[in-house]
Amino acid sequence: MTASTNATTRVAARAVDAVKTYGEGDAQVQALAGITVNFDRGQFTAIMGPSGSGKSTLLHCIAGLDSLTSGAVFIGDTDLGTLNDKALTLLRRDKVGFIFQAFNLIPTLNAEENIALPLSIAGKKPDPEWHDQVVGAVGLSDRLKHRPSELSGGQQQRVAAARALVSRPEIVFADEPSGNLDSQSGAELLGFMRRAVDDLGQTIVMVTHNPLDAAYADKVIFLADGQTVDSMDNPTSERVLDRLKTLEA
Amino acid sequence: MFKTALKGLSGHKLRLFLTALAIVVGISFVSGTFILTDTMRGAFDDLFGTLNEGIDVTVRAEASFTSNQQAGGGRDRVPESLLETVSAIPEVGVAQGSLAGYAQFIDRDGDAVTTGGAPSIGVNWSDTELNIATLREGTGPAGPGEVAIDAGTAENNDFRLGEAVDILFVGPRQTFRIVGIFGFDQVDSLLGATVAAFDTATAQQVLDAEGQFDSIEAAAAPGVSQADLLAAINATIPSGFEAIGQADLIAEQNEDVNQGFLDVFNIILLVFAGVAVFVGAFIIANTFSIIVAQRTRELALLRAVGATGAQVTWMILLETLVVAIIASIIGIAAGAGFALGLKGLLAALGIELPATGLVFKPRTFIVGMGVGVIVTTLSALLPAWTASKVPPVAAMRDVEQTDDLGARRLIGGGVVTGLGLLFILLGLFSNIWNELAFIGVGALIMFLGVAVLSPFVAERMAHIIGFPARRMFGMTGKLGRENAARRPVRTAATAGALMIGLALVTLFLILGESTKVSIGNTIDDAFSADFVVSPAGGSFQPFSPQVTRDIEALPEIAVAAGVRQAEFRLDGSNKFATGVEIEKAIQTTNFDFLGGDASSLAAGGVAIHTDEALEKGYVLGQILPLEFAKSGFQDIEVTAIYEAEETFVGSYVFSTIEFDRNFTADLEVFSMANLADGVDVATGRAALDGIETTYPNIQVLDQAGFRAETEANIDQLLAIVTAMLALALIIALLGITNTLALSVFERTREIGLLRAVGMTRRQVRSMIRFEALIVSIFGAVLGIGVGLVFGWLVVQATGDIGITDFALPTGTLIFVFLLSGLLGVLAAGFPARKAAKLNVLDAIAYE
Ligand SMILES: Nc1ncnc2c1ncn2[C@@H]1O[C@H](COP(=O)(O)OP(=O)(O)O)[C@@H](O)[C@H]1O
Ligand SMILES: [Mg+2]
Repeated sequence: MTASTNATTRVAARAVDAVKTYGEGDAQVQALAGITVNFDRGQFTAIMGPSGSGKSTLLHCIAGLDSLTSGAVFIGDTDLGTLNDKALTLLRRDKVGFIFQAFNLIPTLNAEENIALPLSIAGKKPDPEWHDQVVGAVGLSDRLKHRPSELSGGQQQRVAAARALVSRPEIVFADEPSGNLDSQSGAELLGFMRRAVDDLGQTIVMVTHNPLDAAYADKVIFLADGQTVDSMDNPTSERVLDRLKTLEA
Repeated sequence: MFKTALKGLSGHKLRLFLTALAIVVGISFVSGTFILTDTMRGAFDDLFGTLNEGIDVTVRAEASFTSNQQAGGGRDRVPESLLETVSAIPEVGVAQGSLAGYAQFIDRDGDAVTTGGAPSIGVNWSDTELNIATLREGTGPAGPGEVAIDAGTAENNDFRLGEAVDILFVGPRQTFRIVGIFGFDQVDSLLGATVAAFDTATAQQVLDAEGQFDSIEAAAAPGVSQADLLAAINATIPSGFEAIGQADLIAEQNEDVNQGFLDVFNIILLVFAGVAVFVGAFIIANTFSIIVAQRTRELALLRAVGATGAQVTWMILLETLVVAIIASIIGIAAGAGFALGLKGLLAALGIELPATGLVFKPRTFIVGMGVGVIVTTLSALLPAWTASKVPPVAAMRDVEQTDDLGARRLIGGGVVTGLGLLFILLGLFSNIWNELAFIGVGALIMFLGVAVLSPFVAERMAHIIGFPARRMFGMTGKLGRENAARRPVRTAATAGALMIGLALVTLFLILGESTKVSIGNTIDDAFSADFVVSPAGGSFQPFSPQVTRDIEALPEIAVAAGVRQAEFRLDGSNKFATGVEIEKAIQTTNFDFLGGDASSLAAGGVAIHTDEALEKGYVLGQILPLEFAKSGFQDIEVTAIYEAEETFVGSYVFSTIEFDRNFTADLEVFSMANLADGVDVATGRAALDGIETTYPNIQVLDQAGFRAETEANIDQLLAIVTAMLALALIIALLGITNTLALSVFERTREIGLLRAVGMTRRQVRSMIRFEALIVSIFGAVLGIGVGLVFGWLVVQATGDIGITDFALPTGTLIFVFLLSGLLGVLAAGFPARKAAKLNVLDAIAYE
């Protein structure tokens, strides 16, 4: 195994000199000001930073939901800038999982159908063993036939997490997944995400505001004004909180 | 509040545009109808003005009752000598005798020139200044063998000066040389009529009016007023004749046209326009209720900051009003285009209107505006009221809205449906005063009722209809299906709009098919003839009895019997008379005499169909006071009672002697012929081919051929009706587009999520199309279902007018069903594209 393949296989997704500007002239906002960052395979990375620092924008651009103004983003070896809408869509479907802050589920589908959504859009069926493992892990076995309106907020987010995992994506992106949850439900969700990395070998990138959530991660990357300003391995909530205070000051 | 309302409007441009479109289309039909009929009235006005130009007084035979000249109910003619009597009156400056009768050109290809409704007439050429025609080329006709023709006919058939042309008359076909071509002021033709002018003697001979005129027209001598002229003429002419002033005559002619064809035409068009508006109302109501639902948060916020429920209602109504006024104005303007389209359609059918501008009366504007505003406001009442019920706390909630179907809806819908059905049944089966109005109103009420009830089945139907989509197309099919099922009220209202048009199409298809089958059977029952002679090529121009005489003269033919028709009056209502040579007719037609016989009828009197006689209590030997245009009141004896197919034979049959005494009708509408003994069909057919060559205006068909021809005529009528209903269908499809566009807007986030987790644009489009497919198929099921019920009921009720057999046009109905689905998918084109183009990030953005 050569060093270069080793390097690319170790990195699940990366951004190189990523710049994203919105608007024109006086109203121009630089959401990403030339970020270079790697997300390692099998790692749980948290992205933190003040509001408006570009966290969501970074996530959207790496996940193929938005395009850069300049620079490049890669999922595995694929340069997203070279893909058209169709290819990007298929990439999201087959290689990426998503957990949004809210409105994660299709109201007309029950939990099981929502979990299988990316697969069934692709015309595939979930691998039954893996499916059961994921569903068991999120603790939803007895809720599978319920529609989203019959589930609590925490349950809905766990369904979303199961959906993000069931197609065995190369990477899962989560944007403030616990933002709308009470602390108990949030802790359950984060616990599940942690297990997905530990037991199932998933790669997860999560934006969060909450230092408690960040403590579940292997590594925290701090953003400010569209740039990475720091990173922290094996974070604890206290250290994260301290770092944030200095950032926001 | 007004400002808020306007803000609300501009914030929902697309939805309002789609709503407005439904109003625009409906109103353009309404105003187009008025513009067209007003234009036609104007054209007739001009025509009668032209026809009576320079004439002060007309002298004609008296008649207490007249019906359409072409229906054979015309006045008697006047003797030629009356012209001298009138001319001799000192107050008369100039007088002319005029004569008109059947004359039909043969074109260069040997085919009869048809007009599609306008008369084919021959007239005498007047050398006086009263002649309304002005020569464009050549000279006036001056002797036997000379004809002058109108410029329109010359143009259309490429007839040139000096050329020979063949003309068909009541008498034999003859050849003339074209010596002149004339117009009428600037106009080439009189509403598409073909006019052949001969000198008076020739005209009298070819029009079968030796020594006669239709009327005498006079202009006053210089210095004589019209009133004085009228008085002088009235004082001089013998009894049995009457003089009428020009203005009265024009008014009379206008009234004939208005009460006849134009009013009927207007009403028929307005009925179709009404259907379109009704369907439009469905869509408007649906759109406004969706918009209100989508604005729940905004409305709740208004309530939270202190707006009263009534204010919210008024705000919605105000929005509605603004949309209605703008859309109605556009609709009225678009009506002019619509009228032009209809005019073009008429021209394509051969009914040429003069190139006058469209007539736009204030009434058109008032009615268009009134209908637009009232219908739209009524449609928005319920949604506006619902809006006032939005509780302020709804501003804080974000819940998926659902439709609850309560017992009130079930009971209300059931009652309304039942009421509609009751009206229809009353109209169909009881002797109520205005049957058609009852049936029509009943149908409308029933449509409403079914629309109120259909949400109860909408969810299940959507699941059933969508089942194959789910099976075959996986997740996109499933999502389309679930989306169609999730809001039953919305789905049902959208499908309901389609239901109305389709129910009517189905009704007419069933009526058409049933009529075809019934008439086919009737033809088999009615005729024993080997051949039927009828006007060629679907024209309704009656033909000369000479045709029948020539056919009978063929050695291959044993007997030929012609049939004439005319109107008379009995007990205050107009009746159709059939005129036949009864001794011949009994050989070609299945007649059963229940009282009297052919020879008693041949001697005079009238034969009455047994059903009519029973209903009215007429008996054999009774003397009835019949009223004729030609002969006035006559006591006519019932000399026979018969049983025969009423559709072809009618209820009152006169034999030749009595018919000629009382009617001016000299043309036959059809005739029948039997082969001579021992002559086979092929030989007979060959001989008859010769007749068709001599008389290209007729066709000779065997029974099967006549049946096919009749069926083809019904199909053509059906095609026109369906084309008119197509507009209601188009509006319904707009409704599908509208609802889907609104739903897409409402589900922006959901669609964004689907795109984020990997649904391709193409899959998004097919998901929306599946939804449309399911909704339109649901509409088709409802429509065809209701149409089947209507059709069956109407056929049950119309046995007495000849629709005896209920027949289903299965193939056509399946086609209509599939077509509805296809059109539904087409209607989804715009919302589907819109959904596919949604920006994923915008769609999933929260906050
Ligand atoms: N669609 C957009 N149009 C204009 N500016 C935007 C848009 N999205 C984000 N921004 C701006 O870009 C910056 C970064 O936004 P975002 O990535 O959402 O920040 P974060 O998620 O860290 O709060 C902010 O200043 C925001 O206002
Ligand atoms: Mg953010």
